[in-house]
Amino acid sequence: MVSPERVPGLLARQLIAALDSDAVTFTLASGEEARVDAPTLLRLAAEFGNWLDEQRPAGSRVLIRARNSARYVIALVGTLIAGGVPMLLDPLTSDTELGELIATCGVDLVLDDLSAGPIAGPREPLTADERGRYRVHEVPAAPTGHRATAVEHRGGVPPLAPDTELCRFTSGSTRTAACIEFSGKAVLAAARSWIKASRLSVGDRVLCFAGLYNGLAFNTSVVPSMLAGAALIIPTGLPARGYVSRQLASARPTVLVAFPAIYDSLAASDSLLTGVGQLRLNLSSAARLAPRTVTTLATRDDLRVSDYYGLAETGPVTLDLDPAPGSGQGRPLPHAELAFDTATGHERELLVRTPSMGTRYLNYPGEFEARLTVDGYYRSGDEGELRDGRLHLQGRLGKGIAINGRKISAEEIREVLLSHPAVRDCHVFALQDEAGQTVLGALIVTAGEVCLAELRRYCLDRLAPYKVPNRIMFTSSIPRSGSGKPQLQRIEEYLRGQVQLAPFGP
Amino acid sequence: MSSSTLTQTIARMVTRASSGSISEEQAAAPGTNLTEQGLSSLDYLKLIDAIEIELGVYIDLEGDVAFMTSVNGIADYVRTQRAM
Repeated sequence: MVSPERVPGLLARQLIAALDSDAVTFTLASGEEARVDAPTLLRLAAEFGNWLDEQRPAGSRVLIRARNSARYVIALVGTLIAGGVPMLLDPLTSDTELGELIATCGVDLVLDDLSAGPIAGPREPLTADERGRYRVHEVPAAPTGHRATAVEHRGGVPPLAPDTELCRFTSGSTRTAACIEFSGKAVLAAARSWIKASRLSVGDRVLCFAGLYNGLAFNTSVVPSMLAGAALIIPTGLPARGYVSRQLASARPTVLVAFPAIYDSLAASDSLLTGVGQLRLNLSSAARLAPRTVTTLATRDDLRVSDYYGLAETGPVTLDLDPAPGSGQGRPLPHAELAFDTATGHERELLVRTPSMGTRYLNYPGEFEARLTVDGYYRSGDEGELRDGRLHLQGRLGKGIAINGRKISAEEIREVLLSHPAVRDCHVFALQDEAGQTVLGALIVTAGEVCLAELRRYCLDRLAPYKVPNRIMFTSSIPRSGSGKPQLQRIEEYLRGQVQLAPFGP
Repeated sequence: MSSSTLTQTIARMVTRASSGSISEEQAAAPGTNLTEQGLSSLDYLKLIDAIEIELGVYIDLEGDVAFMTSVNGIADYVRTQRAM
């Protein structure tokens, strides 16, 4: 068995202690692999750690761009055991976006799947940076079956903070994804706070549809289940309604972790859900749930959804164990402190301070720190208020775009569109489609004719699929002021005549 | 259901799943890739639901579902499943 003495990180030591304990009954299951119990997980993670030791020096930064599976958890724990720093990235991230993160975050090894997704087809091998910042070479596949690509940087890489043990990425507040550094202490604080508030224990079975890289899964399911000895069930298929229903019926979970679109889909079903009788906690986060979904599931299926509040930078902030339609995002977790900004005039801007906060953005020096108040509260950019001790979110300050809970930088998409040889100008915006869902749109000025499918393919090669505009509209010019800035009011007036613009919201 | 009727039915499902942003003609045109036409990941989930419910075909979502990117690919899959 792995000896805690040879493990450098606090998080790895605590995970090993929890998984190695006789009192803990953690099990891991996913569609493609047999059930893995805690001793087996530790053995497989140690094998992975030995493989990593052979490929890369100690302390390497291991970026994981992989889809949900039990193998993902083995690679994560194995990296920690070997003293590496896992960096968890959305598997939909394109090769172009990944290349920028490899260079700016000093990634030493990339683990990913052989295909970009069940619908997207096989992945091309990663290649050297076009700007010459790094070279790559494939190394023998990891024991988990992930494709492994080693990176050699030509210049220096940004150093990690001394206590960084894990990194996750966030979008929206910076032009490209920002890499948040977390200490082991912060990751453990998030998990322990969650275990206490959610009363997660040995008897729980957590069915997790959220991406494991995402805070919704990572902070409520992955680490807490290992520490508390709950069973973690990770479906690997596309979460269409029939598949989700089949998973609920076979897994009989006590905790369901899913993003809003899954709850929408379950609510739209004509039939009663099966396999939900023993559910005691149904979690959603990231985007606001549709009131109709909340009401339908509560009245028809007796399934009440806890739409908790959390931020990538701070970890989970609130939870409601007894939610009701209209009851908001719940009460602050133990040790989470909420305040409202009065200094800058945004009297309803939510400020958050938790012991699970990130340290900084590795690839955007100073930008995380700039969002902290002198008292160490993180400026969320979200508006809300506390009523009867419960948080009620109201909207977002500024004009950020969020699609299905993923924050999107319009500037990043604009840059890619403008790099197309036929695009002269563009404006990126959010609109509501006929079904009332928020989708991404682009107003484009071209030189000559452009094939829409070709333009989308161009974007798909450079951006994650959810960043590629669904609705592309052409126009002869985009109104700009004398200084060249887009005249947003005139653009919105033009668009309102043609589409339903989306309200800004979290 | 004849071959052309099945193709039309699936094309109609694509139009519905995309909330009208992809026309039936666009969806059914030979060589069309639905992702390049703007079908989002959520739209794909709606399309899978429609195929399972309305055509009575089970799709193994833990397997390779690359056939989902074209109406003809989906039609071939449905025909194969029905023949089994």
